[in-house]
Amino acid sequence: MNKVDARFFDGKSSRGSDVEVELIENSGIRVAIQGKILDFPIDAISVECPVGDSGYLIHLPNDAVLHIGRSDPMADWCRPFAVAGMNSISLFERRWPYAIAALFVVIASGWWALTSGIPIVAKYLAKAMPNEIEFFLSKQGMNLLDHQFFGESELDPLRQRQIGNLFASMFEETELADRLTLLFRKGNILGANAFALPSGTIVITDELVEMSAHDEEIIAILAHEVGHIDQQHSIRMLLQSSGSAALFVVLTGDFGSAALLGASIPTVLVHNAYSREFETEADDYAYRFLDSQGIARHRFADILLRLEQEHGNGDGSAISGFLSSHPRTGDRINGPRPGQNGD
Amino acid sequence: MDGTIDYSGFTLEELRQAARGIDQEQYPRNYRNILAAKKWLGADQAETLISGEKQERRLESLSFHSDGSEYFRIWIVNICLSIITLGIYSAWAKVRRRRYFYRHTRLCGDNFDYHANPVAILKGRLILLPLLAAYLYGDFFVPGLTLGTFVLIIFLLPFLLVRAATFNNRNTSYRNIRFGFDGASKQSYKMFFKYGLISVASLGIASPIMEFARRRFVIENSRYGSARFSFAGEFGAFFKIYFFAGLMIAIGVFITTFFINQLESLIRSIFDVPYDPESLGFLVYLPVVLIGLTYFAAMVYASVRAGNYMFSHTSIGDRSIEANLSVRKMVYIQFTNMLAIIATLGLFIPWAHVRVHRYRVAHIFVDVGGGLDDFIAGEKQDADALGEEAGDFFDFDFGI
Repeated sequence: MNKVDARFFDGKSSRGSDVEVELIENSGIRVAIQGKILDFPIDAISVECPVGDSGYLIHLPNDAVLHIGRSDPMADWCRPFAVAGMNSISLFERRWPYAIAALFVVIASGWWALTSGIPIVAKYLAKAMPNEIEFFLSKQGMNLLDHQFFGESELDPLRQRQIGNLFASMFEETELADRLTLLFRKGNILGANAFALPSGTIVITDELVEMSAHDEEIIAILAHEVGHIDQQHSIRMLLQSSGSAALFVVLTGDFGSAALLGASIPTVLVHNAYSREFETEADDYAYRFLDSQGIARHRFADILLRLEQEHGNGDGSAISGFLSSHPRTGDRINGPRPGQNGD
Repeated sequence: MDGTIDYSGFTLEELRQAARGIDQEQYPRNYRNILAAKKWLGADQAETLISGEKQERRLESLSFHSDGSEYFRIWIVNICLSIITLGIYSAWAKVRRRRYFYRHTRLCGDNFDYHANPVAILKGRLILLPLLAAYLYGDFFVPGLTLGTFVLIIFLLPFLLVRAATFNNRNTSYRNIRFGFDGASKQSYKMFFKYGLISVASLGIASPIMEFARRRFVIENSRYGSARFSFAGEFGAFFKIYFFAGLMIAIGVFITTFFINQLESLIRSIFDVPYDPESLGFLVYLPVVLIGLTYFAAMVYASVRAGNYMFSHTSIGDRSIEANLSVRKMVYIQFTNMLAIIATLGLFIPWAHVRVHRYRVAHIFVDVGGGLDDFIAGEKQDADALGEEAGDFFDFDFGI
């Protein structure tokens, strides 16, 4: 008995009727509608796949439809008539093994995009960007820092000039030489610190100068900051963070508030991971620079250790290593590991 | 004697004749019994109007017949396919997600359906993608491009609203009868201009009037088949909702900033904490969290109450709609959704959508007195997905 219960809607009024649909030997269907028996050949009808367990929809001529519940044991005889592609998708959607496999694909490709895809794209985009943007962002950033944190430098002007000259002579052979500018500020609550702005401006705090035991230590720190500028870390960070949020929205195909909330989670997590990666890149740059200038590597390690004592971070626990934005100092003072010297 | 006749053995035709012939004034109980017997014989065959008499009003809620784990499978499989096809499938994915929600939402036993053509959605997305890219990243390459794109979108907004409403209504059906939208871009531009001007002139205080006008415009130009939607609400009541939401935020901010200072010195004096900016550092985050929660609650309040108000003053033909969503329940659902989404790194999203949808539709009621058989199909409409996709991309709310 190839019979199944269905709801019939003629498409002209909202009146629905309960009908019985009969399958005739793969040649079509027979429907009893309001006392009339109607035959529809296969090529006059089209069958639409269910979404979840919503049931099949059979489109009849003249905009009429039959709706067959999926719970009906006979419903699956509709399957062979349905569009093949959507049929298998509808099947994937209903079975857990496919869903679990899909979940793994999504996690794996999401992970790849966050760790490799987005950073690579951001690197090329950053190179393509006009310099004006970097100057504009730097000006804004410097205004903010000056307004919120910095004070006027109280360092002896003679000492300022001395460090300035050293900086200029040290880096005059790098490609960035004509963009680099060194500024002195009092760090206040930021303490001993140095900052690199994408335009090529580097700010060093009085506290850091005072903390250094040797001028080569200052050179090491400045080399680290030049590394940030050379590798365009600020712009890349901006692109990567917004890129990972955009990726999440595109992946879920969902633009609502739930998705935006979800998008903020990877953004927070990867922001710190990206930041640590950039610090390591800048460290590598600094070590290579020290090597090229014949300065001992321990100069950088010495000042890093003293900085750590002052700021009291990097306690070495796994959580802080993952969540903090700088790499653990223990990792940093050992210098670049073999094979990590590239770009 | 009134009320003594047993109508249970009557056929539908006999009941109809009895209903026509009876003197309602004299035999009200008999009349009610006739109606009850008719309803029992099946709403499908019942008529809404009997010789000019209107049927009794009977509200029935929409209902949702599925669960989060079913939607999770659909959601994840579609995301996976979107990735594999480098995003092209996302248009099909959108249609399937919508279709899932529509087809599992029922009224009087029959489900809604969604008919959008994925190719139309894909076209819309391809047109809008450069605009979205220019909006998000334009400033990095050409300063001012972001602002330029934003201004362009604002000027297109009235047009996009009409396209979105047409597309969405046209592609929604119930019992194989499509919804439709008759609004014209010209009216839409007039409305945006008029109420936009009022909003600006009142320095933003009257800005809910823009939202009110937009929703009223969408409702009043919608139809189900050939039955037009009508709206009988007024701006005053709508404004009150937004006024209270604003008041909630203001009070929240005031209380928080006022008491946090007191709290800090109180804790210091009780526990004898010496002054040190680090020691009570968590108090810095407390106001941010509290104000955030107040803002969240106020937003849910405004959206739930405004939604209730708009629905409850809407009729389709002569059938009224009611909505009675509770703010407290919705705050609870949305807040726990938020926590669960964070805790599961986003995997809870499908369940979150299902929870909200299930609650929402269960509190929307339609007057189904005498059955819903008397709607007639309207004229067919064509629509492109440009407006709908623009709403998605730029996060505009085009709905009722």
